[in-house]
Amino acid sequence: MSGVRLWSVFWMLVRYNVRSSLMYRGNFVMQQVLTLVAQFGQLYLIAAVLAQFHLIGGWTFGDLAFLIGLRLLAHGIYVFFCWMAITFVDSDLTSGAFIRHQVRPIPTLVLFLCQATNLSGVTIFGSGIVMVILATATGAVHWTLARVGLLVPVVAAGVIIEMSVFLAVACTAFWTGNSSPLFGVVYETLGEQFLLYPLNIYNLTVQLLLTVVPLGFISFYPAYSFLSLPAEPWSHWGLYSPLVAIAAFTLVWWLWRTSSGSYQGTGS
Amino acid sequence: MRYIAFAWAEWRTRLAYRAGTPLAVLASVFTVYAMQAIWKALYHSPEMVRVGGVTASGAVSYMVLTRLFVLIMDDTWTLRLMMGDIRRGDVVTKLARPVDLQGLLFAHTAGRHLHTFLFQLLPTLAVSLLFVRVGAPREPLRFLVSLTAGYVLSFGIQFCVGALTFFWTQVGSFATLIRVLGTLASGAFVPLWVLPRGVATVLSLLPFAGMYSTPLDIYIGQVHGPAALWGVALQVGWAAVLWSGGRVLYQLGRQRAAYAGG
Repeated sequence: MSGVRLWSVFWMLVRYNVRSSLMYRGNFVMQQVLTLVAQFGQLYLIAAVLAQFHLIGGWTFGDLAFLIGLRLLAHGIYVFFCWMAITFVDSDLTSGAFIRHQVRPIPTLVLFLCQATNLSGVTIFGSGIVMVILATATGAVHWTLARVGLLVPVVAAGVIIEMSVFLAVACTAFWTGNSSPLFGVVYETLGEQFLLYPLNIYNLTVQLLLTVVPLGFISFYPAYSFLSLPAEPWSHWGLYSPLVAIAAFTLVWWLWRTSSGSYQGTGS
Repeated sequence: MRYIAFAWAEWRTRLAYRAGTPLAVLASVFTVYAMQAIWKALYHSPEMVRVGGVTASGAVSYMVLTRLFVLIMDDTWTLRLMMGDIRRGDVVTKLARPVDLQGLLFAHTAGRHLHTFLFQLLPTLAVSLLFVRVGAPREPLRFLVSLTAGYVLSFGIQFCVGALTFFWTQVGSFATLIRVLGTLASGAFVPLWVLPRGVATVLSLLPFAGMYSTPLDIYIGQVHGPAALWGVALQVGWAAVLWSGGRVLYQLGRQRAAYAGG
């Protein structure tokens, strides 16, 4: 299948998913409002903490708002396109539903990722924009043409890194039948807890872990290219985020092909 | 006695699915580590000896214990079970039994959480104590009473929202709402004593504060004496209101479900 054809099939499936998500409008609106409440409630609480303590690891409230904003920009796009599918992987495999992706003339990864979209991603992305604006208003970020130009590849790299890491976790389901415990470790702790604050407050082991499992390249390392923080040995590492993303995706593409190729259904 | 048998049955069911337990413990240990690192970093500055009357060691103890109790208090299993069972109609098999649905679900939930306590919470605490110091409770008896009230309260919130499924099948938004409030307004994400006084006062009057803030403030000695008694009384009051409210919703919903044909 040609790239153009694949791209049009991808967008067609996304459009269908969006339409089906909008069927329950009341529930949809409520979910978006609650997503906003959760994001800004969390930011308010962090602001309240920093009103008392002033700094965390040398980072001000504005710096943290930018760190969280950068993460939410990438996370919003990831949630929109990938979140639902990746969380479905266990049930898809154990129920045998995954086999339908293997009998269609489209790469299984594209079909797998296109089976559902989560519109909360749009709200999360919007929250990210507001937080970046907030960080700018506090004077933490001074925008130049170069920084504006850097933002797009950094966010795109963040999306690909997040997708690659969680897809790698999902691949374990092909071998174990259950990826949720590992998903809990990687998403809820590494992704949710650790990335909310600057990595320099953690010990060397955790810093290394979040560099090798490259979640640190989603927001922490790139943030140094935008904020006026004291120079550190890793201050320029964020510029390599796109390269890290390409490497991570290449690796996970190979892992996906190897893992999904061995899947033979449930036999029923 | 019957309810103990239900709790025992749930405990045995959970024992059959042990494969994920080591990774779940690892996830919890990571979270505990993150919490103590964040709060040590916040108190790093020499002038930050006490914030809201709490020292660094008190704050670390509070946040570490929060991450442990989240394993039980934040488990929305009861709610998800009710939402699924009522929507699909599977609830009729439970309603047909000669036991009270609320008591039955409480017994199942308690059996499930006994497993979580022994195989996830305690191992996480044991490993965490290798790298973090958690102080002993200032008032152990009051803390235990408060924690128990908080547990009943947490179940009560979930049962109330779950019973709403009898009236609206799409209660996913309510489930998200209690999850958000249970995290942000309960003192689980940030202790209430760090917040501005007015906000903290309002939040402390809501039932969510009874899940984490009240028991853990008693644990670290942030509240004691009459203030602790008032906190526990408020928890017990909310637990009674939510338990009774859940019962009323369930009775009304059951009539409605029977009217619709079950």
